[in-house]
Amino acid sequence: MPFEALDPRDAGRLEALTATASGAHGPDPEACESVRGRVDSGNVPLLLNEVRYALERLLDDGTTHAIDVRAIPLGPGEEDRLLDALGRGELRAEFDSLGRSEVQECAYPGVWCVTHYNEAGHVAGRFLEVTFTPALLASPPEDVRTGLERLAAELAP
Amino acid sequence: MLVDPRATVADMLRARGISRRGFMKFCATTASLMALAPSMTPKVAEALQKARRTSVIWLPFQECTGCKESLTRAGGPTLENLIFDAISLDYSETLMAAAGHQAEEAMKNAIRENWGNYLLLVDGSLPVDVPEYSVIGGVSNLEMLKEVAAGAKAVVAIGTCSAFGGLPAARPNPTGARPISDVVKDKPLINVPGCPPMPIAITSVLVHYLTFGTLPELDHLNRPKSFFGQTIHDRCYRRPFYERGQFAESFDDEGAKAGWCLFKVGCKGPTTYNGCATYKWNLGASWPVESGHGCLGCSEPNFWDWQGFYNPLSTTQWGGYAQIGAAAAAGAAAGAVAALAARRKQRPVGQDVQEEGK
Repeated sequence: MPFEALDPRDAGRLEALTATASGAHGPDPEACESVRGRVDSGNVPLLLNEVRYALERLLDDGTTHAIDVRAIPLGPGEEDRLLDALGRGELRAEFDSLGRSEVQECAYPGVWCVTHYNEAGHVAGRFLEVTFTPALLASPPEDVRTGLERLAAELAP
Repeated sequence: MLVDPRATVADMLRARGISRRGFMKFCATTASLMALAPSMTPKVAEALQKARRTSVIWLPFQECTGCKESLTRAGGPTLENLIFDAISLDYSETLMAAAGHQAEEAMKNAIRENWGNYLLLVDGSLPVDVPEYSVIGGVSNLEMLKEVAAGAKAVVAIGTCSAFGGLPAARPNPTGARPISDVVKDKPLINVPGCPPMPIAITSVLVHYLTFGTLPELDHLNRPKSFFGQTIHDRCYRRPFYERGQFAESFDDEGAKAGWCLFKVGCKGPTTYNGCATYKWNLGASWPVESGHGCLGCSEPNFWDWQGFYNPLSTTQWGGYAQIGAAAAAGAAAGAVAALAARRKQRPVGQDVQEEGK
């Protein structure tokens, strides 16, 4: 039987995890890492290469590309490593509808990280968009029409 | 909130003061829920513009309510919860405010008004041998299922109990518990197994139906391929260790601490089809393998009686550690071997337990 009692040191670390799991600050990263191990699935460089080829296509013929980061199996800490590798560029925009959303230009122009949060502040979706301008930054014609009607009503005598 | 039955999902969001940008955000996360590529978001937006609310009836049979807990405690107010504004949940004994005769009346009204068009969700197995073991309002689960399924557009079995019998069907199965598929033969049936199922797996079926008016593509066990199309092993971040033949031998050895493959300590990932490795649990915080425990195989038939949680997948099925090591040394080829072996070992409901019992 391969199951054996936990090493008391592991038990202590698991206790720390349990104690912090329901707290406002989340699990202790050090305790998490000791249990999960330091793992490299190999998917981060693959994703970075996908971004690289997408940038080449964007420049060649204007083809845009998007990656659903949460649909890729990543190990502990790998999503952060991916975002660190892409870095942060000059532009960052936020809007608040169904929770906050953040559009962050990466250190490589043409690569945008779009993160949608739910109303409780948890990440509901994260996408890497390879495009000159993310569609979410443009004013949608429907909203422009509604805004125009509102402005016209305010200016009406 | 009173909702115009003719209102589309887009109308409903607009009535809540949600901008077009917010609607597109909703569509992007909805596409992700259905495991669609982000490039499909405009198609989802186009479909949701026209989608109308769907009547849903949710029946609880021999179950522990864990499946509903999974869904309703998915993380407080979420985008996924909006799906529940976008459907009309006309009967759910656990979630509705009404009780007793009023609740039964609500179900009868929903059936009458939406005959042929409502979705029927079921969690829990059926006590076929002794129907009296589980009754609602004096009606046995078996009779209620037959009656309500007759007018349903499709039936969705939520959780391993309704999909495959689950824990109530574990040995010695005192109630003669059987899956919904034993009774529902003439309606489209979708199984969303898991103990509990991932909330995203449940909502993705509803969202697919709501968005496209069709049911998702299913595998041979009637599970949506978008979510159950690959094994845990296929998508596991520990897979590279398997490929290199690096295995934890116990839960506190150096291999376990280094995050090596948990195959030898009983992980059922190679034979389990589910999305945990990708979507994770608790708002993406972690999942069993990431937390250091092997997969139990809870989305597969007879998982409770099958082999034991801490026994490695049997050497007769997998060829023993020596062969695994040799295959792993072959690198990516081992992955293909594992995938092929897993597909060969997919179990029909009830089969292997009966065989083992012989």
